[in-house]
Amino acid sequence: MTIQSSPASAQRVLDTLAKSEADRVARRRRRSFSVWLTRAVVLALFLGLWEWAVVTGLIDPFFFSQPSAIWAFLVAEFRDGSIWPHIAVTLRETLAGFAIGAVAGVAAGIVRMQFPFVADVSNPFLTILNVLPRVALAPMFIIWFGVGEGSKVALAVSLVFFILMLSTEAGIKSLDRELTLTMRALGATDRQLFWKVMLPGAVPAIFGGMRLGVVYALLAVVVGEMISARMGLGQRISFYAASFHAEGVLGTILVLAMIGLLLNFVVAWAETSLLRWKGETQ
Amino acid sequence: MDAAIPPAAATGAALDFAIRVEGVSHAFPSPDGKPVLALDDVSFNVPKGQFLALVGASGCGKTTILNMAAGLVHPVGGTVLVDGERVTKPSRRTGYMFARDGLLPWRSARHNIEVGLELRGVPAEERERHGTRLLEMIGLSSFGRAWPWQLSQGMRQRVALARTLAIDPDTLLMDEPFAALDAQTKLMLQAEFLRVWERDRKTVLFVTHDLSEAVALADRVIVLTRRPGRIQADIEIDLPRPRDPERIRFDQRYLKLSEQVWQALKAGEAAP
Repeated sequence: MTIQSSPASAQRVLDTLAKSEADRVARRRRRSFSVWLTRAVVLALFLGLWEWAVVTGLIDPFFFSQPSAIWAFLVAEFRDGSIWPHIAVTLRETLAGFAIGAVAGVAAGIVRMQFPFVADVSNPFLTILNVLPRVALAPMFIIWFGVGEGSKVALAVSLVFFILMLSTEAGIKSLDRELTLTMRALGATDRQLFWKVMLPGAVPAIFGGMRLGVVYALLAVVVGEMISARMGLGQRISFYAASFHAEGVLGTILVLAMIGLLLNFVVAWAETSLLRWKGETQ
Repeated sequence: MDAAIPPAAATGAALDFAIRVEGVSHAFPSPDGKPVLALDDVSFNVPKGQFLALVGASGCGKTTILNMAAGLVHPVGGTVLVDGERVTKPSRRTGYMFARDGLLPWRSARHNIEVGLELRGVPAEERERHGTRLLEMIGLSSFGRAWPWQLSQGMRQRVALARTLAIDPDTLLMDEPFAALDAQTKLMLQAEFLRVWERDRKTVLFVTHDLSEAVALADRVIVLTRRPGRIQADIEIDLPRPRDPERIRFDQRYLKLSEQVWQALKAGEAAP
C-alpha cells in the first residue's frame, strides 16, 4: 500500500475537515434555535389553553384565575409601586439569611474537618438538628426573634447553615489524596496545606452548596412570612389567599420565581467566573 | 561526580553519603488484620551525586523506602538518614516526584511550577524568574498560563518535573516518574531529565519496575526480592556519560548489564 501525499490532496482533506466543522457548528446553532422555539410554543400553548378554559367556562376563574388577570394584577402592582417594599423585605431577609448561614456553615465545615474531636462531639447534635423539619421551628423563631425580619433570617440561616456545612465537608473529603501528598512532599506545612490545597479544592463543592442554599433561603423566608409577618411577599401570598384573590397569589408566586431565578443566576455567574480553571467541562 | 564509585561503598566518610538506609524493616496491616512484612532488614548507602535505581516486583517495598527517605512513612525498624540526619518529616531540601503529576488543577502551569517556592516564602519576583527559566527548560514557555487540564499527560509530567527542580533540592526522590507516559514521550522525557541531571548531578533515588529505564539512567541498580523486600543484587552501571537513553539501548555493554539486572530480578522473584 502506498500513500501519495500531494499538496493538492492535503488541501482537499483540510478543506473537508473545515467544512465538516462548520457544518457541525451550524447544526448545533439550528438545534438550539429549535429548542428555544419549541419551549416558546409549549408555554404559549399552556397559557392559551388555560385562558381558553376560563373563557369557555370549563374552569372557574375564582379558583384558578387566568393568565390575563394575573398579568393585569402584576401590571397594576408594579405601576402603583405597592409591591416594591415587599420585594425589598423578602430579598433583604433572603440575602441576610443566606450570607450568615453560608459563612457560618463553611466555617463550621472547616473547623469540623480540621478538628476531628469537634466533629465527633458535635455529630449527634448536628444530625438531630439537621433532620428536624426546620419549618416546624418557624413558630418558635417568631416567638424568639419577633414578627419582624429577624425570625425569617433565623429560619433561613437554620437551613443554609447545614447545606453549606455538609457541602464544605464533602468538598474537603473528596479532595484527591495525591494533591495533599505531593504538596506535603514539597514541604507544605499544615497551615499551607489548608490554605493552598484544602480550601481551593473545596470551592467547587461549596458553590454547589451555595446554589442549593440560596434557593432554600428564599423558601425559608417565604414560609416564615406566610406564618406571621408584617411585610414581604410571603405575607402577601397568605393575605391574598385568605381573601380568595387567586391572581394575587399566583402573580406573587411568579415574582418569587423570578427572584429565585435571579439569585440562582448570580451564584452561577460567580461560580463560572471564579472556577475558570475548570474549563468548559460542565 | 565519579562514576566509578564502587557500588557497595559501605566504607568511607559517613558524611559523603547523601542517603543511608540502615537495617530498615517495615510491615503493613493486611486486610485480615495481621501485619505483613514488607521490608526485611534492608541496608544500603547512596553517595552524594549518585543516581541510584531501585527495581523489584510490585509490592517489594521499593516505594516504601522512597517514602521513608521523604519522611512520609516511618520505618518500624531501622533508620533512614538523609544528609546525616534521621528523617522524621518531609525535608525542604528533598524533592519528591510521583508517577502521577499531582498538579493543582486551579493553578496554571507556571503557578504549579512556582508552588514549592511559594511554600518557602520566596518573593514573587524571584519566583517568576525561576518559573520562566524552568518553563523554558521543559520547552513549555508558551504554556505558562495553561490550566493543567489543557496539557497532555507528557506536558503535565514535565511541569511536575519542573516543580520538583524549582526548589533546587539536594536529593531527588522519584517514584516511577515516567510510568504513566506512552513509550515515545517516556524516552523523550528520560533524555530531557538525564540532560538536566548530568549538568548538576544531584543525588537521585529512583524507583521503577522498568528494567531498561533503570539501566539506561542510573549509575547503580539495586534489585529487591519479592515481598518481604531484601536486597537481591547491587549492580554498578558503568556506562559512559553523558548518555542518550534512546541510543544506549543498542549498546553492547548496556545489553549485558540489562541481562545481569534481569537475571537478578528473576532470582529475586523466585527467592523464598
